[in-house]
Amino acid sequence: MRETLTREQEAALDALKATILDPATPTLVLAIDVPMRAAMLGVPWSRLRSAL
Amino acid sequence: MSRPDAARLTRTAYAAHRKARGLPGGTLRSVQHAIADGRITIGPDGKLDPAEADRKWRNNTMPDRGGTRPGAGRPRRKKAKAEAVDGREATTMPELRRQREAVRLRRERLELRRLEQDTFDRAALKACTFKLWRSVRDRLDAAVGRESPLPAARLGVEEGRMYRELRAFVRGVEQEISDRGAVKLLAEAGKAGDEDEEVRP
Repeated sequence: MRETLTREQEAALDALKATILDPATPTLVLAIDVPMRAAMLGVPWSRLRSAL
Repeated sequence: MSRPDAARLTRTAYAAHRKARGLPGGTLRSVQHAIADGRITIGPDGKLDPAEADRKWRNNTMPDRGGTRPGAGRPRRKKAKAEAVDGREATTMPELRRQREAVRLRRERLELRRLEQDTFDRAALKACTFKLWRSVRDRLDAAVGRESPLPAARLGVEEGRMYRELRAFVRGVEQEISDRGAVKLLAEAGKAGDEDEEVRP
């Protein structure tokens, strides 16, 4: 079942998706920053993984 | 007076002798082959006695094919192979090549294993980073829930309010850390850590 996200989490996930889809995003940011931000903002791993 | 050496023939002359008599092997090459095979033997003077050579040729040569008869002629040279000499293996070129190839393969296998251990999956790295920072967040959140009643009692503030305040504070810190990002935090730690213990891979 898909987890329900709060407004903040949805916003955070959208921002992360934008970073992931940006071709200019460095690999290091993708590999370390994005998972770290998602974790600290309470985005569930399942949602982040599908975005990655 | 007959000279014993007069009858002896050179290889070319012996070939001509065979040809003249209508015998097989009437060429220099055939005579050379017969000598090399040991079917006929040359004397110490390097010449051949035609009668003796004819007899040996007949006895030692297969009449149908012209090769050496089985069991006749010079013993066949044994194929070179590694034999134990004084407990050590004698090495031949093919054997040395095989050993070198085996060493090369072993080294490549080791190198590959080392590379596989040093390299890790990007997906695994992402999952690991996420797990690490989520555990930090969970610990901070848990600390708020666990510790808030104490300062609430000490300050005479309602427990729920204290919890909400502390939680909001911690969430702010988490947001700040998240906004900064791990890469920037790492760079800042690198600058600040000049005086501290140097951490290098």
